[in-house]
Parts: sequence; structure tokens; C-alpha cells
Amino acid sequence: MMPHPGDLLSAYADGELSATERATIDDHLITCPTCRQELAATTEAKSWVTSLPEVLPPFGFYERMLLDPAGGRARRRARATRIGVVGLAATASIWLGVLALSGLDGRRPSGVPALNSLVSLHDQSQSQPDTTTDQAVAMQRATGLGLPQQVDDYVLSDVIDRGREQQAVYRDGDLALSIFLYQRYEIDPSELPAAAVEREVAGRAAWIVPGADGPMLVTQIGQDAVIFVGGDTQSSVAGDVDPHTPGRSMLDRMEGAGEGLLQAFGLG
Amino acid sequence: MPTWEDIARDHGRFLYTVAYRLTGNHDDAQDLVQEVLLRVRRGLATFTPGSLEGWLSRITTNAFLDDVRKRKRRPLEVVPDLPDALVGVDADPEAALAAQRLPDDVQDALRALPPDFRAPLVLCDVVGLDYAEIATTLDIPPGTVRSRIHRGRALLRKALTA
Repeated sequence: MMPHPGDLLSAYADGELSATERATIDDHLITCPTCRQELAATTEAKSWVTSLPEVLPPFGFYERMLLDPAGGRARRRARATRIGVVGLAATASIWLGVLALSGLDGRRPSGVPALNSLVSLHDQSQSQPDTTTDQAVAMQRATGLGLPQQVDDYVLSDVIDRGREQQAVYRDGDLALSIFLYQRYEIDPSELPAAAVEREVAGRAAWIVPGADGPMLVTQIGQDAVIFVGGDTQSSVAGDVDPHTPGRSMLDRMEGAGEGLLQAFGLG
Repeated sequence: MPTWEDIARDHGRFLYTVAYRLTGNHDDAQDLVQEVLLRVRRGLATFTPGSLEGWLSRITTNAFLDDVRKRKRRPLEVVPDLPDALVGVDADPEAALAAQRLPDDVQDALRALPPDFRAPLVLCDVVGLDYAEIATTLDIPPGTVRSRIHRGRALLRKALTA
């Protein structure tokens, strides 16, 4: 009888042995309950590690690093990260925004590859409604994220997995509205730009962040950060109760819009 | 040669997961990913055609071990005692259910392993490299890969069944 194979048992479990070595161990296992137990234990320990889930980076981690590769670490450790806002050019009846961590303290960045690529992605989402994900796939993803297929006249068009966030795009004709979900990210209010206004929206903390082309709504829903949005200011989807009243600021209107948005999308 | 924007966009989750499994916490994982992307950007890591994720894993693991050595957090040559014998697995379904482990517990046990044992386990069971690739990545003989993986699993089991 061969001696106990010891270290070879993990190699056996990993399929790393030659046919001859494997046959030798097979023979040994038939007659050795100790090694059978050890093989089972090794296999079990392997399964614990192989079944560990994917780990998501914190919200905005890559954007922050791409913008400032060498300084990001120091800033992160100093807990002095800033969020910058970049708005997107949009048609007159649409405002569509994206919030990106930038370290630029609200100044509109230019020539920054990461943000330019985000803008480009949104432009694509807006201008190429029929070249996106397979509709059935989008529906499946939306269901998985707890998002509805349709809200009023806005119909789910696409759900894009961008790696660090999920973007759901809804369309009503030429109008577009986007929702960004950052899973397992807790919003730190100190990360928001100074111009962000905190409001209680549908009973939860939310921030209205002015952007170059319209306000955005940032809120925490459970473990996830949700960043709205887009859409037209006159739609019931935006929840704008009084879009054209002179003297009312966009932020005033947005207060109602936020609640309307959350409720409309089943998040309120 | 992929740009780091490509890597962040297309392989960001994978890279972060490997970094987190190696370091065991988000702060160190972020530092490690940053170091990896800086190495890529500075051209310090030469891309060889093949699996991009395998290449990233090699850079990540080497950066991790470089940092460990630099900080001298733990003596790399210290090998903890192994249990005398691994506890057997009961075929009883209830016992099998009880034998399941929560990811956080597994991660804690993984983090408690010496880095020289943790790295081959992560490369094998998280990344999916074979022993020859792990030996090349870590620049150690294949026999050492085999023994470290086996001992690493034994230590994990000891920690999680104690």
C-alpha cells in the first residue's frame, strides 16, 4: 500500500495530476478511509473559496482613480473626496444627467477621458435607442433590479451593465430618462458637492444636485445608491407638479419630482 | 496592449474581487487596484497575449506580495501549525448544511492565512489558474504550489471548523 498522498490530494481535487498519479491515488483511496476523509475535507474547503461572490468596488472608485491616478489614494485616505457633476447636452425638452466622482469640486471638467466616455455613453443611449441590448435581456435585468417595464408613457428601453453601475434607460419617443444603480454603496453626504440640497423625499434622505442641464436626484434605497435621472420636466414621470410657474426654481420643482420619481418606479 | 480605461471598464469587477480576496478589506483592495493600474499605465507590466484576466491576476498578486514584503506585516516564512488530521465530512445532509460557511467567515479565514499561502489559493480558487500558471506567477516550484494550496485549505478548514 502506498503511503498517504498528503499534499497530492489537493492536486487530485484540482485535476492537476497525471493519469498515472491519479490511478495510484484512486487505488489508495479505496483502502484508506483517512485519505477519503481528507480528500472530502479538501474538496469542501476548495468549494468555500470558489463559491465566494464577486466583490463590487465602492461607488465611483474607478472614475475617481481614472481622473486622478496618483492622488486618489491620498485623498481617499484623507476622506476628502469630492464629487463633481457633469451635465449632458440634451434636447430642449430633455434633461439628462450623470453624476460622477471627479475630485473637481463641482467644476465642469473638460478633456477628462473617463467623464468624456461617460458622456459619450449617454449620448449613445439617447441617440441610438434601437441598437441597445436585446429587449428580453433588458426586461430580465430590470426585473432583477426591481424596476418596472413601463412608467406612464416611458417604456424600458435598455438596462446596461457598466461594471460599476447599472444604467436603466426609459424612453418616451425622443425623450429619455436614465436611472443609475450603484449596488451596495452607501452615500456619504460629505462626498456630495456643496450645492447639493438635502431633502426628505418619500420618507428617505435624498439630495438634489444641480447639474449643467438640470437637477439630478441622489438617494439611498436600502443598500444601494440610486441616481436619477433625466426625462422631461413636464412629464408625470418626473412628478413635476408645476413646471412652468414663474419664480419657482428648478430645485423647488424637483422636490416634488423626486417623490414622483421614486413612487413611479416603485421605489418610494 | 489594453489601456487602463479598458481594464477599469471591462474588468473592473474582476480586478477588484481578486484584490479584495487577497487583501481582505476594502481600503487595502483599493490601494492594490490603484497600484495595479499605475503599473499598467507606466508600462511596468508587459502584456503577453492570452488571458487578460490571467495577466491582471499576475500583476495584482505580485503587487500584493511586494506590498506585504515592503510593509513586513508578517514574516513570510512563518508557517502555522497544521491540524493533526483534517476532520472528516459527514454524509448526513443536515451536517452538510451545517458545514456551509458564510462568505464573510470564509473571507476572514482567508485573510488570516499567511500571504504566501493565501496568494496561491486565491489564484487557484478565485481566479482559476492552474498550478503551472501559479508557479510562474509566484516564481516558485510547482511542488511548492501544490503543498501551499493543500496546507492553505487545511488551515482554512481548521479555522472554520474550530
